Amino acid sequence: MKALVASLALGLSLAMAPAFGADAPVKKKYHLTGKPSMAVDGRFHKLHEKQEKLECNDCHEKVQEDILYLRKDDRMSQKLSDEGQVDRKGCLTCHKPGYIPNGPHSFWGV
Amino acid sequence: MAKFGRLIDLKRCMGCRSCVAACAVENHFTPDAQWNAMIEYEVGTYPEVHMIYNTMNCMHCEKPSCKAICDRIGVKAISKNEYGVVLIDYKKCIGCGYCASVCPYGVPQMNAELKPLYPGKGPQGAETFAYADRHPTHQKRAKTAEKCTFCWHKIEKAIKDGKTDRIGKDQDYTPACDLVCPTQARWFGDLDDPKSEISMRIKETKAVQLKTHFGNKPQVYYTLDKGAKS
Repeated sequence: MKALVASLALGLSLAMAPAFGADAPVKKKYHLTGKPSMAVDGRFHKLHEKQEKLECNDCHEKVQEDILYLRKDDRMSQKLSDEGQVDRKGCLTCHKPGYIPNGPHSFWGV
Repeated sequence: MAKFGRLIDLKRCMGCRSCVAACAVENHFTPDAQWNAMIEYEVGTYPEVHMIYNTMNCMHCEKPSCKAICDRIGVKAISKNEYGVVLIDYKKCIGCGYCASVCPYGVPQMNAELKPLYPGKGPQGAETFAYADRHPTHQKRAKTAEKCTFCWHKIEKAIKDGKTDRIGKDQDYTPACDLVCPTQARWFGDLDDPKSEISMRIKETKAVQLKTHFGNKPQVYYTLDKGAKS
């Protein structure tokens, strides 16, 4: 009986351990496959749009933004679904050939 | 019967967003569902470049696609009244979002959640008004569509007071956005009356409707600045 209680207590304490560590920052696992997601809300898109502040037309050449649209968040997504493919040759404007995501010295002149 | 409309002079608009702020206060904005937005873009090529400031709100179209689709699916939450104002009945709206999908101007907003405007501060000012005391167009609900009403609560008051001739002129009977414009770039009035100030100004300034190729016949006109999109 004592062994049963002891194993139960051990099991409970092990089960609760992750809960105590819940405040610790969770490291997100990006680029596990080396192929970043192209989703509009994905990290790849956010890096180029928010951090590097690229205009949509910098990559999506064919897209003509319908700017006279009240809901700002919906402006591009509707258009992109029709004609949103990126010409990868444009990536080489900033990135060196053989670019590896997060790799060292992957930008021209950096 | 009057058919109300608006004229926005893009040559005069300086992008101050007073109209957006006035609408926010008057119509109890929630963060994800603004009824009036300022859109700005650059035109021209260097060295001759300038900014275009184009405020957008509901166009209150003569042939509103939002109403057409709402009627088509049998919900019938959107109506266009005899004064030309397109309104959404929050009690009938089922939150399908079809109206938002079909509007060529991207006007209907799907209000996912009713939140106060200022994060972490709770309801402020007009947000503290009890729901029951608000006009039906301000009794917003989560997960329903909403949009500009041409300040229908004010037009309705003018009708009740028998002062429809004062719409667009008196503070109590004129949409909030049109009242506050410091550059007098906005005009509101009866489009059916050829002698009304708005009708005459539309003619004078050769104002146009936006995206006419959709055939919605909007009741909001714009006096375009050089290079402005329509």
